[in-house]
Formats: sequence, C-alpha cells, structure tokens
Amino acid sequence: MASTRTINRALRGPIFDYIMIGPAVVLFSVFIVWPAIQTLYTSLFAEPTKGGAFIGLGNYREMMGDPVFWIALRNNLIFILANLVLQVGLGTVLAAILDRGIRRGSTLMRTIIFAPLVIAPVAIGVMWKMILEPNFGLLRQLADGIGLPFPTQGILGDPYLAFPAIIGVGVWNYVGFMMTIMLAAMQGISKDVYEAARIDGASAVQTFISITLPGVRYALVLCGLIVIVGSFKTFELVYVLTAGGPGNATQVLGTYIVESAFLVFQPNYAAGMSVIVLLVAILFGSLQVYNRESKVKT
Amino acid sequence: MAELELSNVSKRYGGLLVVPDISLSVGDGEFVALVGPSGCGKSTTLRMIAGLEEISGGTISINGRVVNDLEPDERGIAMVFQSYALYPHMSVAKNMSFALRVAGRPREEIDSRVNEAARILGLTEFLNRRPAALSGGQRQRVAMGRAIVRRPDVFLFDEPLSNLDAKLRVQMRTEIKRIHQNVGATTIYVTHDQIEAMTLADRVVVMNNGRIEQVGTPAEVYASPATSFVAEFIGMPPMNLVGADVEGDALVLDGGTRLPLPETLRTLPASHDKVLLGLRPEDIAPAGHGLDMAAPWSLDVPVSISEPLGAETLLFFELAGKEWTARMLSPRPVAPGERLSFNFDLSKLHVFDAADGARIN
Amino acid sequence: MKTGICRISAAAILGTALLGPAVAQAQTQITYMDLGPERIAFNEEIVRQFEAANPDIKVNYIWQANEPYKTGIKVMLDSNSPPDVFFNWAGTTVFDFVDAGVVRDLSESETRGDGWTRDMPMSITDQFRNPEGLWGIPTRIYTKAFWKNDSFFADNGLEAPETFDELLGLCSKVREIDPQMTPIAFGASESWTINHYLTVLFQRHVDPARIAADHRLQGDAEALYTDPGYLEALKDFQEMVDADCFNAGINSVTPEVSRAMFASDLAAMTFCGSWCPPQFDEQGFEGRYSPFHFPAIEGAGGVQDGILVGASGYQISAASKYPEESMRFLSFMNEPEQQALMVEMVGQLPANGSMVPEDLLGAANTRLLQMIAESSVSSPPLNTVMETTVSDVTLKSGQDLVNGTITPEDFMQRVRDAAVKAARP
Repeated sequence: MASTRTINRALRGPIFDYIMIGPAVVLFSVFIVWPAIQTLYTSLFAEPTKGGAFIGLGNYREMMGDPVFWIALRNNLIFILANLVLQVGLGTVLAAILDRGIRRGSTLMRTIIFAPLVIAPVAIGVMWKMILEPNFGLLRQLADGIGLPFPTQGILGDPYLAFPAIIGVGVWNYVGFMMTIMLAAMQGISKDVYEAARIDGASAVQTFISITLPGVRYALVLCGLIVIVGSFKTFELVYVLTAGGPGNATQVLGTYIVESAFLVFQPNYAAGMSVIVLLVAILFGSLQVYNRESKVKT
Repeated sequence: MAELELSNVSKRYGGLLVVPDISLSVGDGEFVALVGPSGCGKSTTLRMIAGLEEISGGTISINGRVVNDLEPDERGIAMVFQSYALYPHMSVAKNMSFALRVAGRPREEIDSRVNEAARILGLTEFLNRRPAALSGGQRQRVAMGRAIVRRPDVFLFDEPLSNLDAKLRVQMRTEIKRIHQNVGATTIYVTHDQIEAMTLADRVVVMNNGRIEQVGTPAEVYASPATSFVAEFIGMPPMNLVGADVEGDALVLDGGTRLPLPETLRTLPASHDKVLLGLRPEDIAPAGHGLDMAAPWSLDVPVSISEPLGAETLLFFELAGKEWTARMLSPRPVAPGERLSFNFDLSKLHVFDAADGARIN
Repeated sequence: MKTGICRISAAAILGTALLGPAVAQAQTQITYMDLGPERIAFNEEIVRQFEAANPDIKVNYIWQANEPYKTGIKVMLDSNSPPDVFFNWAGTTVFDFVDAGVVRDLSESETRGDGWTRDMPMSITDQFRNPEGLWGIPTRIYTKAFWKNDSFFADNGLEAPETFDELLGLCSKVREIDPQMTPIAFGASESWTINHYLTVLFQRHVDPARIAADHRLQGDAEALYTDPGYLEALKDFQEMVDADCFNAGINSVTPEVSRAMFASDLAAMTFCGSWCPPQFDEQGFEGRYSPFHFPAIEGAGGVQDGILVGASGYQISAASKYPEESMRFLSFMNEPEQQALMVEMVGQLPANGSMVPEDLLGAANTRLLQMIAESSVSSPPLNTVMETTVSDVTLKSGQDLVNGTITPEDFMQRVRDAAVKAARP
C-alpha cells in the first residue's frame, strides 16, 4: 500500500515529467542542438584546403562580399513572397471555393489538387524537367501546336524564366497542402454564421473577408509560417530542376550551401551560411510557437 | 409591420418530401409559434420563410409581396439562431451593426440604432466585448439585438432558448415576450417546447410530419385539441389517452372497464364505435382533492407512484393497460400502493377517431 | 502461404543472426564506389573474379551516376564510413582530397611493381602524381571529338570541316538543307559540357604553358588569365551560338538528350566524349557515325592540332581499415587483362591498352586512339584542372555566356577575380 502511494506520487511529481520529456530532449540535443553547435564552430575556421586555421568571423565577412550569396538570399526572399501569395493565397481561395462554392465534384477536385503533394520532390523535378524540355517537351509541343514562340533557351535554361518556373512547380506541388489546411479551418466555421451573414445581406466577397478570413486567421498564419520556413530551406526542387543554374540565376541558400560544401569543397564557408539559415529558421519557428500559444489563450 | 402568408408551400429534398403542403396566415404584429417534435418540418418552414432554403412549391409573401425568389436580406426579415451564430471575432457592437454596415448606412444612424437596441436589451456595458467573453444569456441577447437593429418586418426565431439552462430559459422567455410587446413586430417562433409556445405565442401552430395539425390560440389548442397528436403533445403532464369502444350508452375501455357515456357525448356519430378517449390529469383527482366536477365518475385504484411538486402532487395509477396521471391539488403524503378513490370528470372527456386521430366531440 | 513466408523469413533472420558474426569475422569487407550505370556489369564481373581469387575478401560494390557522383563522393568521404576504393577524375579534385588528408599515398605499390604497373604509360599515371606522392591509379582515358552523321554528310555532299570558319559555314549549310536538322546537338543543363568546348577553344588560342601556369595559379596573381587568347576563345564560342549551330534551349537540354538527338538523325553533328559511342549504338546508330578533329582556327595563337584528353582512375581513402586488401583489389582490376575486359564490356578507352586486341576496341575507339596519337598536345578538361573555386565560376559563367547575360569580357573578369582570390594565401 505504502509503496503504491510512493509510486503514485512519483508519477505525479516533476521527476516523472522530466522522465517523460527526457527522450525527446536527448534526441533533440543529439540530432539538432549538437550539430548546430558544431556547424557554428566549423564556420569559424578556414577551409581544410587553406590550412583550417581559426579565422573568427572571416567566413561571414566573405559572405557579405559574395555576390552569389546575395543572389541566393534574394531568390529565397522572392521565393517566400511568391509562395505566400501563390501557395497560401491561392490555397485559401481554392479552399473557399471548395468550402462554399462547389457542391458537385468537390471531393474529386480536392483529390486532384492535393495529389502532387504525395509525389516525391525529386520525381516532381524530373517530371517537370521532361515537360519543360525545350526540343521535345510537352510544353514545346503545345506552344508549337498553337503557334506560340518558345523561349530560345528553353524555360529552365533562361535566367529570367527559370526561377518563375521553379516557383510555378512549387505552387503546383504545395497549393493542395495549403488548401487542405485552410479547408479544414474553414469547415470549423459554423454554417449558422454564414447563414446569419447571408441574412445580414453580406455578398460572397464580404462574407469571405468578414467571416471566413477572420475565422481562419490562425490557420492562415500557420500556413504563412510553414511557407516562409519551407521557402527559406528549399532545396530539392531547385536542385533537381536547375541545380541553381543557368549560371547562378536560380541559386538559393540551400543549393548554394550544398554546392559550396561538396562541389567547391568549402565546408567551413558552407557551415557559415548554414548558421545564417538556421538563425532565420529559428526566428520564424519561434513566431510559429507564439502563434500557437496565442491561439490557445483565446 | 407586416403580414405573412404561406400558401401551399412545400419542400422537397431530392425524392424526399419534407413539407408536403403548408398554408398559414400571420397577421401584422402577431406572435406565432411553430411547435412540434424534432423532424416535424417546423425549422424547414422557418428557413423557407427566411430564404435560407429554396421553396419547392407554393408561395410565401410578406406584406403582399411574393418573396420566393428574393435573397434573405431582401425579404425584410431577421433571424435568431439556436446557436446564436454570432460573428466570433467581432465585438458586440460590430455584431449588431454588421447588417447596417454591409448596407452602407450612415455612421450616426448605425450608432443610434445599436445603442437603442443595446439599451432595450441591457447590453450597453458589453458593447466592446467579444462573444467569447459573454454568458449564454448575454449572447442570446446579442443575437436578438442583431435582429432588432435591422428593424425587420418579420422576426424569425429558431429554437432560440434551447441552448440555455432551465432557469435562464424562463427568464429569457419573459424577455422575448417583453421585447415583442415593445417592438411589436410580426414574429415566427420555432420551438419543440410546448410551454414556450403556449406562454409566448398569440397563436400556436402544431406541426407533425410536415403537416399542420392545428392552428389556434394557446387556450384553443389546449382546451380542444384538434387531433390526438395535439392532445398528447400540448399540456404537461400530457393528456391521458386510452382506446375505447362505444357500446350503447357506455364507453368500454381496453381491458373491460365500463364508463357511462356522459350527456355531452350522446351525439357521437354511430360510425365511431372505436375511439380514443382523452382526459387531462387535472380532470382526475382523488375524492376531495380536486376542483368541483360536473360529471364525476369514481374508481378505486392503488397508486403506483406519487410525485409531490409542492402546490400539487401528481399521482400515477394503472388502468386499462395504461399508466394514468392524476393531479391532487391539496397535497398530502401518499404511499405507493395506497388505494385511493379517484374522481374522473367525464364532462371534460376528449374523444378522437381511433383510426385518424381526428377530434370527434 | 503468408504464414509460410513468415516462417521462412523468420528462419532466415535467425540464421543470419547466428551465422552473421562468424561470416564477418572470416571475411574482410571493402567498399568499392564507382560511376554507374554503364559500368555495372563489368564491375560485377571484376568483383566476382577478384572474390574467387581472394576468398577472404568481400567487395561491397556501390555506384552513382555521373553528376550526382561528384557530390556523392565528397559526402561519402566526409562521412564516418568512406568507401575504401573509389573512382575519381584526374585533376583538381584528386589533389583537393590530398589537401584534405582523406586519401592514401600509393607510391609504395608502384615501387613494389604491383600488377597494375605492367605496361602502364607513365605519362597517364602522372596525372595522379604530385611531389608528395602518387594518389591514384589511372584506369581509363577519355577524349572528346566532333562526331558526324555519315549518311547525312554523304547524301548532301558535305565534308568534315578543316577550319573553324568551315565549321560555321557548315552550320548554315545544314540549316539550309533541312531546317528541322540541328547542325550540332548540344546539351548544357550540366555546364561541364560547355567547359569541354572552352577547353579546346582555349587550347587553340593560348599557349599551353600559359594555360597550365594559370590553372596552377602560378606567378603574379594579377596576371592570371589575362592572355588575350582566352577572350578570343570565348568570342569564337559565342560565334557558334550566334551562327545558330546548336539546338534550342541549350541550357535546359541534358547531355543525354543531345546524344539521343544525334543518334536519332535529328542533328548532323555533336561534340561528344569517348563515352558516347556505346550510347549511340544503343539507339541503333552503330556504324553510321565517325569522329573528326575539332577544327583548327586560322590565325589563333595556341595549338591547332591539340585534343582534349583526360584520365580517370581510382583512389584509396586514408580512413580505410584494410589498405592492403584495397590495394590488392585496385591493382587486380587495373592489370592489362582486366583492362582488356573493360574495353570488351564497357567500350571505354583503357589507360593501359597493351592487352587489348584491335578488333575489340571497335572502329570508333580505334579512330579516337589514332586521333590522340595525331595530336601534338592533349589538354584535360578545364573543370578537372582549374582550382576548384575558379572552376566553379567558369562552369557557372558558361551558362550565362550561352544565355547572353554576360559578355566574354565579363566572363574573363569573373575568372580573374576568382583566380586572384584563390591565389591569396
């Protein structure tokens, strides 16, 4: 009896809490915190091919003067903005149409829009590379068929079209995911509220702005943060479609880090850029947690 | 203010006929309650009036204008939902003013109307709160306020008190009645609670299976229910109903108990030899414990259960294979199994056709 | 049925668990990483033969395709279990790995006179050598030439061009003959293909000693890559683009597609490596194509009869637990007999051709070896000999040049900037 009570007390006490979160903390430390510290440490040294001496913030200084780093950062920012508008915005509009507008075939539509998400990014890249192939690709054949000119360098080979194409493929890939999150949030809004708005005389657009959007604002912020962090970390799609080319036109931090570390053999410089990406990701990650907490409070 | 007219209105979902054919006239300023069990079509009827459901057949007109194809906001109606359906992210004031803002009314007008509604409903101090920070009763008031500020021709209430606890429900009932008396708008009120219907309405429409069973004042539907369904549905505790045969000058209950046929029923058409007899609990009482009876008939039976309610006691006993309820006005303790001599006021008997439930007497 | 399978697999797992440690103790396991997929069959055969001769050694063979291999091998060497024996192109990366201390000096094996040294030309072995030691063993050489569609040339009375101007003229002739026909199939979605053009064009315009010094970042940093010949070379390349010599969308066409275009009668010519003929043949193009030299450029200041030749081979990682066994395997597969087998199975040019019968080499390869012999200078591809960061800039800028987003002057400015930076201690 006495021992049972002791166990019970242990099960309720703070020690038990630590035991329960212990494994997660250990895994997090071993696989996230420790590599992050190592990366930071690595970034403070010169490349192994240049002697590997401690150079403090030398790699970061070099970064500031590296035009490709700025191209990559600019592309990341464009990617974020474009994806916010196109993935979250379009996803929300599609969700609203499926939620309120379409009665018939909405399940089919949802499946079609969602489907690309289950394809691996590498497969998506290969598929679109084939579609966009400038001599025999589907798009070229379509353009020829209706008598439209096709860009001389193809699409992925053109410095001005390649990045928009990557954005387009990304949207095609992820808009269904955003739509699904938004749709789930919209379906949480009571039907009565929409009817009340209808009786109050609100138009479809007014209803969307006054009822739907405020009702899904946490989901909207969540989607936004997912897109921001995802766009900032993006790698596979760019790597498979253009590998940062032509030239460095579509370089993003993810591809530039991999290229610096493994193709140009500058692991320490790459570590420095990784630290920058990590800092930005932490910033937005904490915003995400904050968003979740404020949601819990209301 | 407005008159509301439903003529031969029907509603069909695919092959399912939910409301076959309803006709109803509501006078200007009248308070009409649609009452019936769930699934009887009362909410569907209300939603057709509101314009939230398409009308499959017939016409609905408000003030003589057919509104069948008008959008809800063009019909001059306002609706209060069971769930209140408040806009969760808007303050009380914003909730109440939404329709006016959508309609682009001037700001001064919006403010004065909202303030007036808030004053009537006692919401002035809550105008800046969000619905989440309000109690159930306050939310209910906001929902009504939202309807009031629109100054509609017709108020529609869809089970507005169902989400409130019993005590608050009684309070809000009084409130609604007071507001109706203040505002004086034509009101259609849907409820499954017959007490709400009886206490609030000028006229009660009892519905069952998509049909109107009876339209009448609360007193009429209570005193002379048009069908056995109405008889059973209206009144708490419900009317005692039992099958009987008419044999000459006697009524033979199922199980063989014979009652003398009272004077008032001598004119029963001969065709009705199988009938349903109804007698309200207040028309049965132990000797010396009820009101004076015009045509008492006595029976000694053991009491199975007694339910003292304070001012009165409900007594249950078995007769003709049914459990009957009687009402004892001056209470005294009754032990289960105690035999009492009950007086039945046969002059108050309600007689219905056993086959279709239509009232005969 | 299902339970049957379960029982069998359970037994297998149990068996493996019981036998596993015993087997592992009995055998030494070395990991061998090579390019794929065209070498799979040959590698499996070599591994089979080697394991039969050395029952105590097990070879675990893995492969990656060309482009991912370049990244993959660096990731693997950076990991805790690098492959013991791995493929590499002779050139900068070999010495990058030497600088990083991840590869082993193989001088001892050469001094000892292991099997692979028999008949191996020293000049090719030297591609893996620096003053500190020998860091790899060559296995094959590769070269690059123009290939022409023989029947198209014959039908239209065309001749292989002798000069660069003739080549440009040929481009417009082909377009005139058949507007659907691409004069030269070219895929530069992987930018090393541009680099191969530039390798030969630089060779035509600049003194080889100057090029070698620039690649090694020798001398005054400010003077690196300032020879005016470089600029001329880039202008010539641009002239080819402007003369409509190539197919549409050069930068988005993969090298594989460009080869397929040539082998499908969609292009009259292509500039392709010694690894290409097997792929042409696979498309049923066997015997309908032949190579010719990259034309001479009149008035240019470099070497007009030079050719692109690179070597590739294998290195052993410094972290290998079994350096002896790894060396034994490496030596075995580079002995003249196995080199002959490689020619037979893969159709590539061997580093050591002493045991290869002429008929086995095939017409195309025989002609390529002749062409190498005819050439006075052979230059390895730029990207294998330039300093890594300079090479990266050169690769990237090639695509920009094709797109016209930079001028030849911009291109060289970038190369010079990178060289100056790389030359800094």
